[in-house]
Amino acid sequence: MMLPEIGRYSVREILIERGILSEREMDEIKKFKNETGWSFAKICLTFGFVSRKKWTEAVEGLGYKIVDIKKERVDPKIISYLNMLVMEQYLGVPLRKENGKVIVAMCDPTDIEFIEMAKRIFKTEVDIIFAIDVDIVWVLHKYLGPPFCRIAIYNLLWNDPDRSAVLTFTPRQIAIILVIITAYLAYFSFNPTDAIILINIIIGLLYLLTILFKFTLTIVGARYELHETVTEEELKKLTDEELPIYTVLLPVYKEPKVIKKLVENISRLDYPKFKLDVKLLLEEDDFETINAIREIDLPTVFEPLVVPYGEPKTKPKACDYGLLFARGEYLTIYDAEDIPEVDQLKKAIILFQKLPDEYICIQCALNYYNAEENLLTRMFTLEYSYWFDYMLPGLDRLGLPIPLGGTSNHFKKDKLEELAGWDPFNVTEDADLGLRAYAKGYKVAILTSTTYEEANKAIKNWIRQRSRWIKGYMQSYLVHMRHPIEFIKKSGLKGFLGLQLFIGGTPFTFLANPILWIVFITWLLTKSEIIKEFFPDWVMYVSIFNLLFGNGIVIYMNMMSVFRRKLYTLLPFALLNPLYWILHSIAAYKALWQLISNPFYWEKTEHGISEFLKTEHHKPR
Amino acid sequence: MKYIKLVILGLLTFYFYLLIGLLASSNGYKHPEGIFLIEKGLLALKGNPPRLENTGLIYPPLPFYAIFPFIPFAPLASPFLASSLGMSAFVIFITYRLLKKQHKPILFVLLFLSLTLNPLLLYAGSSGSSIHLYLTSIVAFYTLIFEYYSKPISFYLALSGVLLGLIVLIRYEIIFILPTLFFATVLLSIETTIGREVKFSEFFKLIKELPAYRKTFFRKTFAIYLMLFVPPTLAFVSWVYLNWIFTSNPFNFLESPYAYFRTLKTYALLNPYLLELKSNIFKDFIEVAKNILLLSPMFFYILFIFRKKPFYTFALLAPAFGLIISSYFGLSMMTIDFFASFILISFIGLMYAISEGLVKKHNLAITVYIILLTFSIYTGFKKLYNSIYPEENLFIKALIEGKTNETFKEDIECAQFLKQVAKPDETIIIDDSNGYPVVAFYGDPKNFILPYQYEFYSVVQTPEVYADYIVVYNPDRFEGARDIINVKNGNIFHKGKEGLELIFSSEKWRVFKSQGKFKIFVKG
Repeated sequence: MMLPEIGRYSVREILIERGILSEREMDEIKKFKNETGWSFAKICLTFGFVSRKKWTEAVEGLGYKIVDIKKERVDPKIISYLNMLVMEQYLGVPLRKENGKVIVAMCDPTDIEFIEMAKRIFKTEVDIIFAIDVDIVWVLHKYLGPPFCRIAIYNLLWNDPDRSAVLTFTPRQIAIILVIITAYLAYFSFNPTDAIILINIIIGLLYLLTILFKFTLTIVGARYELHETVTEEELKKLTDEELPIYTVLLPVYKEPKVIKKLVENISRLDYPKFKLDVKLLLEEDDFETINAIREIDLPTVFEPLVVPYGEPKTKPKACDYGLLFARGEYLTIYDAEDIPEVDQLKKAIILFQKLPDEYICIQCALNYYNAEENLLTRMFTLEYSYWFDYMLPGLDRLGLPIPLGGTSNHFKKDKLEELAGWDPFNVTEDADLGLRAYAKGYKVAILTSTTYEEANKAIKNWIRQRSRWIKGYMQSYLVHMRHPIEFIKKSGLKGFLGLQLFIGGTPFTFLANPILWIVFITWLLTKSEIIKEFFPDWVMYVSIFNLLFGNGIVIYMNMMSVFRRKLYTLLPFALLNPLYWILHSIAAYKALWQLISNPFYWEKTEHGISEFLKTEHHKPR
Repeated sequence: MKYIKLVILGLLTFYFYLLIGLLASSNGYKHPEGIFLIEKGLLALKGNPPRLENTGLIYPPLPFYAIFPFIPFAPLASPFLASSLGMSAFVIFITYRLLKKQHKPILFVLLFLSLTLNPLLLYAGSSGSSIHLYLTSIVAFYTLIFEYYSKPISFYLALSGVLLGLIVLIRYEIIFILPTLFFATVLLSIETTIGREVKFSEFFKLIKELPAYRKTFFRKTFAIYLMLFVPPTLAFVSWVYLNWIFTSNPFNFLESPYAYFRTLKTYALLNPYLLELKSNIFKDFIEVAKNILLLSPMFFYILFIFRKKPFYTFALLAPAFGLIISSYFGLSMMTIDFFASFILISFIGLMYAISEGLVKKHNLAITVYIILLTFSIYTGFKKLYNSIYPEENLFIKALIEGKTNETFKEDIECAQFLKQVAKPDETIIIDDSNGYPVVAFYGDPKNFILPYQYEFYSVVQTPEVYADYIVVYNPDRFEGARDIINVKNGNIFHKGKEGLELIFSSEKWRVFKSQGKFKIFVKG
């Protein structure tokens, strides 16, 4: 490592000389520096003034060579001499003592302030090596982040243990389940026919209720199809000065293929960049993505944040970690493949301003940009359109708890902190958070702004993803059914019904479906009297009603979902829903198995496999 | 507050139609279809065993289900309890829509006048017929599809489709209405695509010149078609499926000797007036137009208002064309039933004509409408009074003149006689194709051995052995020749049979008592 004479050139001067930074931009940077005390390097890289590649070239032009400090030896005692946040602001970190000098890695080796600070603290000379910001952040959080990581993992458990999914089944729940099973087996041993009829009655009635509930939701939601929650006029009236700092969390893991697209999409957000607090949440062992970031050759608005290793290794844990460092008044999450509408943040703020205080979260619609890639993406798009454009608005209008979607939920940060963030042990932490918010008397609103994602086009990948969602729903159901009376008292009967039919009903229907279809097909082929015995008249009528009307109405409602977004070509595919439900059932059984065997396992969904991403610069519809 | 007022209005409507129904009933009026529904309802809920399929899978099912809630406690009043409830729900729906569209109070008055004074609507709401279901469904369909035209929100389109699907299970005659609606749908798509000010010629030009526009239009049209016509298709397929699982013949409802259209055809063939109309499109057209003009002249006025709106025109004409087509095939009785809907369809038309701005001089339009409505009230009374169908003329006579000759007098007498003589554990065999009124008035189907039961076909061979009482219909009367008991026992009505004693005789019915037999039924 060469240590050239400092003062001959600064990085700042190189960037100006090369035309990478203009005078106007320099003034903006200077102004922000004076207001916040952030370093020049941090401002340039975080707010997209300079790409990391260009920065590296500029620094290398001064004679420095970039060092991958993740591989360097780090003395934890040395690193703990300085405050973590200070080091983050300066993008500098002392690594170790060597030959009487402290080796300091810096993103801007010409930052005199930090060098002098290091010399003062260590009372010795320093040797400067050049490292890019993401590597510096990696080292900082690896060595100093674990206490924060523990907070992120256990915050909910410490503050609201009854609502943490760290325990899948409580002892009381296990006892109740065992009692029910034992009682049923005893009944079965005395009267097997009636026992099976009882199961049929329960399944039939639950099915019926779930179908009628979803039909009601859809009809209620459909009435407001053309309703825009925030108008163009309201948007135009909003000025940049009124806007608060907005935190955007971007949890990623092993996404080298899509990271560039992600940061590009976020950079396009229509929001003053100095008021954006974009945190790219990287996992400690995700070297692929970290290295991919170094190669991004365009200015991007984000700040890398590395989540130290700690079980469970889940997205909600990463988000909870990011929450600890969030600076914004509002906060949202986007996934790796997301393309939000550019004015989404502003619309969220306007809606928050219009709504009463008890609204602490806004859920935006999700949809897909590769809707017509193959049959699976078509079915997925239909499903999402139905869910976000009709069902969630229906839940909203009826004042029922809204299970949040995985991304594009916008929060009031202080309220999110009050709720202790996401549950790291729940694999659908978003759905759970919606329920917890509701149980505490808070509300979620729906915003008619869309974030476009990549629909899974591969069946195995789809099943992995869906099994996680269904497992999460099961977890959320079990958590919130620990104290059902308390839940009713806090959320009312309506909320309780929503929990049963929506959160509980969803995995239930997918688990019950294959059994019912097998029984039906067997009867159809054999007309066996044995099967008829288990379906006495009125049970059979309910079953027939569920089969004909139930399936019919669900397919029909799916057909309706194309109209809002004018996805007319997808409508005929709604008739293929029974095939799509087979996949749901496979995922549901996988989920059930994992709920018992590996409840916290996060089935990673592979992104970036769409041909759409590979061949064209995609634009949302 | 608004909702409470609507509920009160609904309750008042319910009470009004119930009063009319009770009045007519207490003056001796009974509607044959109502009695038929009661009998089937009793079989479904109290039969031996009680099963839904006891209603038979021939007649459309929803009219039966509508009366089920009332069968357990008031079987004889159940048809007009159901129709009163149906009309009150309908009134709430239409009033709600009027309020939503902020219409003038006069329209509420027009609606009120139509519903309370127009004899066709009183007939639909209180006679005991199930036509109220068709009436309310088709008018609700028009309301929703016009609303979709006005505000293209899929909610209205979806509910319209669902209603069409339900109508398939209310009246099979919908099959004759669908072709015109099928054509009207493409007009719906065109007119909701081009906007109000754009002309058709400009639209066709755009379609020709812009591939993207053409593509989107065809996709949208296809989507609307699926939304509207999948539910009726699904309803039909479901009915076929139910016929298959319960009768082993998926088309039993079309092929049975008692099939709906087959029965209609038989009646039509025996009616010279209807026979003239069969296969004579010109006469059908004149007759339907004449009836609509007499009974609902407002309809033509509304058509005139919508003359420049092809979608509205064809959509409104669909039921009229449906009547013409069904009459052409000899499948329409030309009863009041289907003409009553034109009164309310006209009202809906007026509602939308005003809200769409097609009528500039509201007061003039409403005045014309009132005059025509008044005329229709008068002609409605005349039509009912002079109707060739007893269920129609007796209804109005029962209301205006008081006591009428009971249409089911003999059936009631027979039922009452059976009630007196038959013990709870004794069995009565009867063919309910004609005997349904006896069963209905008897009130408890458990004593009866009827064709819906497997045992009937063995008992009917030797009824004197297996039944206590044998009730036989006069074969010389209309439809009497198909009484199975008579047919299987060598004209038992006239000739009697060894082992049987005649204990009751009227013009329609004879009741025989068995003098010694083996009991095969154990009651309880």
